[in-house]
Amino acid sequence: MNYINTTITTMFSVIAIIASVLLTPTVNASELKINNNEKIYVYYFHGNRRCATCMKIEELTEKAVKNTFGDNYNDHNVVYKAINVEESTNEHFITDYQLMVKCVVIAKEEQGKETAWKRLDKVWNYHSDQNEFFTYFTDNIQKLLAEK
Amino acid sequence: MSELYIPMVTALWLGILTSISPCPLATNIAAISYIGRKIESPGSVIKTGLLYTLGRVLTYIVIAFIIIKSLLASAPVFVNHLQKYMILVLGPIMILVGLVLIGIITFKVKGFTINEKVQNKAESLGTIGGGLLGILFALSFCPTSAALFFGSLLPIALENNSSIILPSLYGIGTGLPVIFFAVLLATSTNLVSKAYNKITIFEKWARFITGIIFIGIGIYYTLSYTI
Repeated sequence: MNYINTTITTMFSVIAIIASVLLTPTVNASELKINNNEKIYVYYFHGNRRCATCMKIEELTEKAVKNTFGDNYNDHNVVYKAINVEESTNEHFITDYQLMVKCVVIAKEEQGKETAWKRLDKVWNYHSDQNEFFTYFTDNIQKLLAEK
Repeated sequence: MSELYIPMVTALWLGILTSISPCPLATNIAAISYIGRKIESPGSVIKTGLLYTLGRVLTYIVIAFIIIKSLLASAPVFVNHLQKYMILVLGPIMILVGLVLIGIITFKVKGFTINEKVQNKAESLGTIGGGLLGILFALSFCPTSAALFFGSLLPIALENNSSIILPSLYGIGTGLPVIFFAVLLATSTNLVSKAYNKITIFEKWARFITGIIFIGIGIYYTLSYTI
């Protein structure tokens, strides 16, 4: 009886793992066409006061970067940074990106100059669903790259 | 007005969501114990609860008005300063309120300790204190409440050019769960104390426990953010 239970549990676990792999949206980094003279910055902004949801958003943002660009995202001209905007040296980001809420900002740099950026305020709406979070992130990266 | 129905329900729901999210839990516990401590008079509990909600409503109206009417050079800087500095004073203020509640700090009038008349005034000040507490706690944005107010409510208020109705409903939403639990706490304690016929002792204890809660949460905030 125990053997049957173990087998069924194992089968369900395997199906769950396969399903999660298949359902997780993955984008081939090459499809995103980051040119050699381009660089993508992904910022997660936070303050001194951290809450459980903030930590979750930070974790999901880094996962989304890896999911979109691969574990070696640095090789694809992608930089990920978590920044405390309440430190005096980082306060300029508040006006640079009009930050009213602690959130994620993605920015495109061309030939060393920032040419476009997007503030992802809705990360607060998707933090409970990793797939939705990844889709929201990737869609915006694609829009950012398409901007001239 | 009818086109405002959906935004109005959304604003109220966002307020409730803010109140029940874990982020402002500590201040909500303090508010519930403060509002619900007057177990002897349910009317006073309701009055303090309503003033607490009114305090929150007024605060949100003022903030929304300032931002929607673009009265500031940089709204993001104002919003971030609010989030950065309010939390620094919250702890010490809560410790002070706690010390008053448990009687370590007492008021003296012209060198004399307070008499019965002044005591009654202090009691009504306690009810008004609910309003001040509402203002203080509404100003003390935590990341989640900031995201819900500045990230979700304000865009809707801006879109509908509503600097009063929608922020008011949001404020009412943040106060409703607190009033509900405060009334529940006061009523159940009242029933238990009546069963034991010791309502005065229970009320003294309720005031003392509220003071201890304020001091405890105040120390937590002071150690975490002020020092």
